[in-house]
Amino acid sequence: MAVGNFKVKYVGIFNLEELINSISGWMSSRAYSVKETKFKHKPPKMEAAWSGSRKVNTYVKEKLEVSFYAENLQKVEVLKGKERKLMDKARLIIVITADLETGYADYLDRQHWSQNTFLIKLKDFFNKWVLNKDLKLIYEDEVYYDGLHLSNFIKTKLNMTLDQGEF
Amino acid sequence: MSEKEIVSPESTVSYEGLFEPKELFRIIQKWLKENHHDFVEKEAFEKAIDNKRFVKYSLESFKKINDYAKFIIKLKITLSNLEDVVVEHENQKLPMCKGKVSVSLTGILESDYENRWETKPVYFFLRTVFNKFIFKTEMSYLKNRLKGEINGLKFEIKSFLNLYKF
Repeated sequence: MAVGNFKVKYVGIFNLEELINSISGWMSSRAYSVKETKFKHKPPKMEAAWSGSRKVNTYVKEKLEVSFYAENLQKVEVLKGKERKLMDKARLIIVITADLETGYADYLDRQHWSQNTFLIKLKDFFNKWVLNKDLKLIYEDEVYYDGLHLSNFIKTKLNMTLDQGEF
Repeated sequence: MSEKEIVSPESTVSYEGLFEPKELFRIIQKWLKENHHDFVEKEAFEKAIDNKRFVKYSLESFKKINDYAKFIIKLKITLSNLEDVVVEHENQKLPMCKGKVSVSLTGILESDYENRWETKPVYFFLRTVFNKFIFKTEMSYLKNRLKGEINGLKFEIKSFLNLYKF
């Protein structure tokens, strides 16, 4: 079950290349190793997905998944000051899923914690009785707030936030 | 993959005025040696603009407590707006430096640094259970000891920079 889901919806003008680079740049700066899991561009639609994972220790891994969907995507020329700029206009839906994985596979894709029934039961016991507090209070919190900060970062990039406070 | 826990989050000592950078480095290195810390230089950067220098220096020191736990102290020394000046003190001319210095320290406790308890899931389970329930007092003792060492080094730097007035 995912720890948190965050959705950003936007219709308007933005810089697509800058937005995509800044999302992966934000994840890399927070020590997530980023992979592009999906990229489908069929104008006027575009779909992409990135998966970022960060190992906390040999047992716990924090995951952030970003799915990006744009429709009615078109290039527009914008006058910014005295400069003419080529930008993008679309309807955007960005979904961020924050998740936690325990007993993850190693670099050779070997699932050590599900090799036999004993280890599967041990993992359940471990999560339920030994690491329960740590998982709920430390690791889940970390990845949840990372997801929240990423969604706020995207909103800032899309000029969806106020420069000053509400009051 | 050993487990690293930040015991003492980054804390900074800042000072602006006259000081001797060489002496500052010597004092830090002396303290590390006296407290049986080995250290490695991670970064050394120097840039000069209009007779003013900017120096960035990163050190990482480590001390093995036993075959399971290790102390790591991360030091970041930044010297900015540094210029050479000559100061007259008791009828003697002393070459010194004027500028801004900031030293930030982070204390990390690394456990199972040789990855011995991570080769099998059962080992990892036992390690976590032992850490959480049996070695709890031992681990908290080590954390307090590391905090004490960080405070000791900070005290040494502050005394050198004459930051203790009263």
